[in-house]
Amino acid sequence: MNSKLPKRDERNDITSLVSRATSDLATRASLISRGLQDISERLRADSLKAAQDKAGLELNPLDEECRSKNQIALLTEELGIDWNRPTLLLDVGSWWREPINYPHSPGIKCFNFVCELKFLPDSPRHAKLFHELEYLSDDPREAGKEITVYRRSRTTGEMCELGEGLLLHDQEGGPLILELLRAFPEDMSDEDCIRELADGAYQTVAYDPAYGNVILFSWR
Amino acid sequence: MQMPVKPRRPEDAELSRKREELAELQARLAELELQLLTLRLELAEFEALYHAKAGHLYAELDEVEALIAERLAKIRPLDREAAESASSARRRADASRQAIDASLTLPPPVSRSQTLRDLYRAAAKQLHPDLAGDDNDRAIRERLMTEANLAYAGGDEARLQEILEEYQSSPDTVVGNDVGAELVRAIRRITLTIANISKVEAGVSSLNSSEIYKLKTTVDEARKRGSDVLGDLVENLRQTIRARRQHLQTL
Repeated sequence: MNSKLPKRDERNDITSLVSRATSDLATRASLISRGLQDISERLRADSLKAAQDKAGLELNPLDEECRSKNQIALLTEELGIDWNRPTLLLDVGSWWREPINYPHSPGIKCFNFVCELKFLPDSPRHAKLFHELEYLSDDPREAGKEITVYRRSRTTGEMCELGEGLLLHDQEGGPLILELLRAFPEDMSDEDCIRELADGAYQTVAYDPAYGNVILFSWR
Repeated sequence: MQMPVKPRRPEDAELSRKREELAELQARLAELELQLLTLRLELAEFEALYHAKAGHLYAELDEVEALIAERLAKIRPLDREAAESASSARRRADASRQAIDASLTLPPPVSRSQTLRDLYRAAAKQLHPDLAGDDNDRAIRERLMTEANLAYAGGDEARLQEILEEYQSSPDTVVGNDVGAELVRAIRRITLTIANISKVEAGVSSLNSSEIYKLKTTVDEARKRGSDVLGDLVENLRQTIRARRQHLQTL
């Protein structure tokens, strides 16, 4: 026999619990979805961080600096970046995985994405940026533009680092290529890695400090 | 003197087989109904806990975000985008507040013993409304089944026992009919019970694919690995709310 039977008020709570368990579910669903999404993302980030730690590769000095969300917020504030106002839109199309061999970092993968410049606000500053992207450099030794790519929650605006990127331009008039290096769990398939990168709950963004432009990547 | 053995009529044998079949199906249905109710209660209890811990923080965060967006819209009266952001943030904050108002109150924790589960199974088998002989019997069964659900939810073994006794002593449970009618009744009850098993299985399956089930499973599995993901979420939300409140004060 249960020694602690519910009191009258508690019984009312139980009655309410039983009768309302399946009612008003749609109203409450949004808060549940957000919790599930945030917790899943946190677990995924932990898993990826574990993979990165295991890989043990320092991709860029900015890695450590930008690892925490607070530090990203600080960087945003210092540089006065308004992530809500992208000045450049790159439409991400097809992709391929480039074989790389880091013997001590098996989790590191390199994906190449073909990007199309879709949106360019009409201002001289951004035209200069376009030039910068179109002709990345006359010097073949500086064939790409290094950028840090972030992911930004569409609901909270929170940001975390997605990976280290290099914007390349193979041929004049041709598309831009984003080369992205990131550590993934070893058993994750390429398709799952791409799904992870293109998660619709987030915006993929980068900042080009040379011209103060916020680059928004749009996944097809 | 040896008594002559009365030969068993074929319809008696068939009735006996049908009753056995029905008893097995009713036992399965009772087990499934117990599973469904237990799952529903566990999810409702978890949901109440979730809203008490994290849900109200989301609502608070949305309120702060709405205030920030409204403040920005006021600062930039000609900025249409700012005005749209403000009204969108306000809609979201209102929806979250409504969600919290509709959330479940967290009842005291209840432990459900094996005896309680056995009693509930017995109640589900005996009281199922689809087994009613007539409308009056159905009304009694429906009332008692609702009471049995509440007693199970509250962990009240004594009340469950009372409910069973109340029904068993009811004059409505006494029936007398010929074999033919009993056979037809048994066949119809079998059909009804099979249909109910499908319904309850669908209910369990639907709950198992719900977001609240996924959330509970994620939290439970993380706990087994020694990680308090719900606690981390709460802490993260609190930090975000603090930071956003500070930002609001600077505007």
